[in-house]
Amino acid sequence: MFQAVLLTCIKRLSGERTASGIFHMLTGKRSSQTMQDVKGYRLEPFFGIYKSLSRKRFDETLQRLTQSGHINISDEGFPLLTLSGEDKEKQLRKSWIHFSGLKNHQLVMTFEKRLFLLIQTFTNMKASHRNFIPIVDEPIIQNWVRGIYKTYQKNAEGFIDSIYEEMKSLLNELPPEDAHIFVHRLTGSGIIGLTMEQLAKEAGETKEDAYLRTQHVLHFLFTNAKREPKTYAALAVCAAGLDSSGMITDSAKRTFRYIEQGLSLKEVMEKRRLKESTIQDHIVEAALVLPHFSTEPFLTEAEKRVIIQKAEVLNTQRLKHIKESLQGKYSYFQIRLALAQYQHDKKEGMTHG
Amino acid sequence: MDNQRLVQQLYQTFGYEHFRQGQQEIIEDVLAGRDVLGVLPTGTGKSICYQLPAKILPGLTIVVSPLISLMVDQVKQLKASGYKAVAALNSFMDRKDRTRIMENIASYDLIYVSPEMLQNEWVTHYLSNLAVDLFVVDEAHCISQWGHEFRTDYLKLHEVIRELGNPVVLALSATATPEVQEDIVGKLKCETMVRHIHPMDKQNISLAVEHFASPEQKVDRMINLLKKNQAPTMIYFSSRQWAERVSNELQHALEQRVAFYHGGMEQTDRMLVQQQFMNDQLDIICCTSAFGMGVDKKNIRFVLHFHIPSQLESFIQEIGRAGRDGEPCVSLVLYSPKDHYLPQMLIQSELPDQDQFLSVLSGLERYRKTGKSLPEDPEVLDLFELSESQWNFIQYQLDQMDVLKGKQLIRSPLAEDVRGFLEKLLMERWTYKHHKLNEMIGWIHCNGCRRVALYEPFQKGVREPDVLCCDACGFKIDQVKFNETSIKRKRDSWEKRLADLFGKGETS
Ligand SMILES: [Zn+2]
Repeated sequence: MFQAVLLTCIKRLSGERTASGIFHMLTGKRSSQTMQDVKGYRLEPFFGIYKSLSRKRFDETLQRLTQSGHINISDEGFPLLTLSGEDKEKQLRKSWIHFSGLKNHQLVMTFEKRLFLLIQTFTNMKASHRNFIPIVDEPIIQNWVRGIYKTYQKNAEGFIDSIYEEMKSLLNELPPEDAHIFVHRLTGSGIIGLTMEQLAKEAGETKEDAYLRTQHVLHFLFTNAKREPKTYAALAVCAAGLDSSGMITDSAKRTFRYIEQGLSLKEVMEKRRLKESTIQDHIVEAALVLPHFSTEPFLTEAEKRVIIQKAEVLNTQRLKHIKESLQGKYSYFQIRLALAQYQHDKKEGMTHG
Repeated sequence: MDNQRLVQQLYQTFGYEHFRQGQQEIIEDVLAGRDVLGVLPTGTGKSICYQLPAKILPGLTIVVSPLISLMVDQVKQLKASGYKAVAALNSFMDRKDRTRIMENIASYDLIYVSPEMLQNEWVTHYLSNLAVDLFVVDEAHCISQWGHEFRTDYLKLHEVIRELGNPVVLALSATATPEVQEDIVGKLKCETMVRHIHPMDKQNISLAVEHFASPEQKVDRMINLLKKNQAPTMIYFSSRQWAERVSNELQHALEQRVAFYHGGMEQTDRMLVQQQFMNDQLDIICCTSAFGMGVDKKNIRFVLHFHIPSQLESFIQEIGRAGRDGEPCVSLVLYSPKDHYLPQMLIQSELPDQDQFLSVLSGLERYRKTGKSLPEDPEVLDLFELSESQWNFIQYQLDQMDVLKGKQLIRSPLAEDVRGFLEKLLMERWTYKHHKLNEMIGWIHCNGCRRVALYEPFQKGVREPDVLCCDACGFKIDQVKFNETSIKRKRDSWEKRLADLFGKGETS
């Protein structure tokens, strides 16, 4: 699976980009270069599908592809398919068709946690095992599942049966290898799921293959739940509320879409013919309400932490104080952004808690 | 609370029908308002000694616990068993989770706290406004210089106890020599502590040591042993690479289901492996000491040591994971001549050596001369290339000698008295650690009864074991025959697996 994805990426980049570009794209780095490449070379399905991919393993896999004669890497470091690589790519092309990375990769991450914990919880409750250790730690997800359980308590069995039936029928549409790996990842009543290492052994593949297979299935389930919520009503419950646009204004939404596509602030200004401050307002608005908004183009995680810590120490939301005590290192916009997301996280934690 | 009601409460809270050795006396003393030092062997349910009182007492119970992984595991297990009013506070948590706990702190019965969190004024201030009924020091040997896991942040606990309005103190340890016991009482400044010291010798374990010329021979020996015995088994390694490597070899050579576990794995994978083992989906686990803290699996029959730990205390704790159901179990140490290098390197990484130490002091002196304050801890570690425990040690000592106040150097660390004293301390610590390692190696080579030799530093004599004692007393490991797990490794179709997961039983 991993090789299939790499081969297609290499094919579409037709020797015009380095291997690093592919790595950044798979791990979902939102730089404007990466985003432009994603659009320009039709790599949308793959963006961000493997956030935890290790650079070492990535390089090793490319090396293996080179050794087996499927790719050549030019002196400048640009990979290109050989003839046998072209054949192989064609042959494997079908294996990744359900990925919808650019559109859904962050939503699928939440969908995965919800679905896995929900299955563990409902199947254990059904078997009257009240003592189980949740496989997902995050309080937000745990509270979500608790809420669903309360809602469906009267018909918990019916609900979990629907999940079962819906999953079974969707898995039937996929290659059996995908279905096999995916179900072995699940934890349910009396059965603990396998680690990626163990899944890889189970299938005689690499860890990366196992990971991508589970993700592939999740993308497929998620897309179907979204597209046909009536047919897959129970899965649609797990996907509910996971949209790339929540309760923000239409204007902010438009700005947000451009940012998501990797446009810079300036580019958005030009495209939308709006003032810089207005665009900044939109971005702050998005950070306030969208569950998966990434501030990264404007502010790294580390910078965000510094600002939030300072705000906590000073016990203030006053931008001027924070800015001064950080020696003016950050702009007002950056500080607003950090605080906005902090507030969002806090609010999420509270209302579900 | 009378005896019967206490047992009733135990049943309601944990589902146990009676107390295990030592628990009840400790709980009764705690509830009567007496400070207690409890030394109870691993696997006897130490934690019940405060989890039950926490439920009964009206105010808050605070548990100081040095290991974050252990803390997190315990909270998970308590919650899973229906004990909900419990939380953990540590510096690795998300700030927002921490804040949420602090804001709701009055709603908890029991809070686990890592010692460094109690150095945070915000936290202690918050806690001191609450009614704290019981203050528990878990792994209390960490407070002692002569304990095997000395932690400087434990030394300030007596101040915290005072700030919290002197609640009842319960200090607990599984491995404390008489010397360490004295130290615990002294450092906590609780002279009137009632002591409940229980013998540590494990009566249902047989002990053996075997010598090998190479690691490969050890692997062969384990394969040979485990081919004949099918039972839950733990194998301890002191390196991650070895745990993974041997796990792979065993997987190929044996029918049993084998996995490895170490601190370098992803959080989810660690949890899955741990739960698979608990759930009897795995037979053999190749692990480092990171495994097993919160694992309470009753039917472990073999604890093998592919590498030795650096002290007897750790060894005793690790073999304590075997046979918690009281049934016979076996410890086997596989030793080869160069095996003491690994623990020696470990000691090295824990304590700064002479040169390193001097360069740190000179570096600090530069900060004093320029009047700058020190950067945050992580940067200090980078700057002087120190491990966390090395820096903790230096920082604490400098603070005690009024060289360092917060982040500011107020006196020269190179002054003769300071330097001399620190060097002396460092030497003592080195000597101590090497002494501990030598004790461990000495035990490997001892000629007499292994049981007597193992527990000698901790107590007077040993009780009669329920099983054959040790290889010096006629125990032969090749005569052992465990046949507990029936292994059926067949490949299920995904349809079957899915149906099983959802409790659907038979399907077409
Ligand atoms: Zn003996």
